[in-house]
Amino acid sequence: MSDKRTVFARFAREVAPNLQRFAGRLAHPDSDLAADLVQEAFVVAYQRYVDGRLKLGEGTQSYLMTMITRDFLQRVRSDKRIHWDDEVAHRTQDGRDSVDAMLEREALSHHWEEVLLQLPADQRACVVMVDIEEMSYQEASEALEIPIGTVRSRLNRARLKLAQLLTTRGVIQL
Amino acid sequence: MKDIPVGIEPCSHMRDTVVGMAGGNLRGWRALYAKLHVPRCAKCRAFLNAIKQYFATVESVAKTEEAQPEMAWENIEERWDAIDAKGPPNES
Repeated sequence: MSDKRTVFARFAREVAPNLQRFAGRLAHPDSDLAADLVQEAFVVAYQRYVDGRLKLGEGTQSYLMTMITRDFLQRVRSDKRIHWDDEVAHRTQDGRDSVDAMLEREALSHHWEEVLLQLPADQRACVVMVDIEEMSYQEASEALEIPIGTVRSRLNRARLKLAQLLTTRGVIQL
Repeated sequence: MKDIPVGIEPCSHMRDTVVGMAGGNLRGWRALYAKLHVPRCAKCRAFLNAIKQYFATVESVAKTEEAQPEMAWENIEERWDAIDAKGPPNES
């Protein structure tokens, strides 16, 4: 195995949990899609690394998250098999019986996942990148290839919607 | 959208301002205006309250560590093998 391969493999294993969590939040509840997004990102990134178009460093994890986000949005827009509609939302609600038994934090996560699912994919991507992963507006803007102002307005629309949905579930109390 | 409670929608010109206020990153005249407007406006007050709780929720969710499924490293390694087999691009 080449040195380059060893270095890249070590890096991939190091960042994999973060990327899995990130992709999982974007693609929830489709864990196969999440796994596929991470795998594709590692393959494309390795090709670029071998070609000398990618260097490993501080920004590489964000770069991979950007790839994952773009891939995710592209698939959602083009693949009719990926639906983010009532059917999927109801499928996740089937498991709600167990919520009572969950610890408070797990219950919160559960509510969060369900409400996040009700956002359009592009708004969801903004929330996951900026609010959850704490990426800057600039990074989100570059990843999504939209102006910063659009990131801000999508994000604030999404926050309002999420706050409303969390209120109906009693997570937020007015 | 169904089941949205009334009273959480801020004044239309205040949405971004109130979100900024909740995040503590408002400056200058917008901060001043928000300080004057929000305490007197029930809709924006409710929204500020909700959005602060939203940020608290997000913080809590972001800290939650979920068990991740095992990565299919063997598939990835196979595809890396294929890339290695092709070798780097020819310099021409």
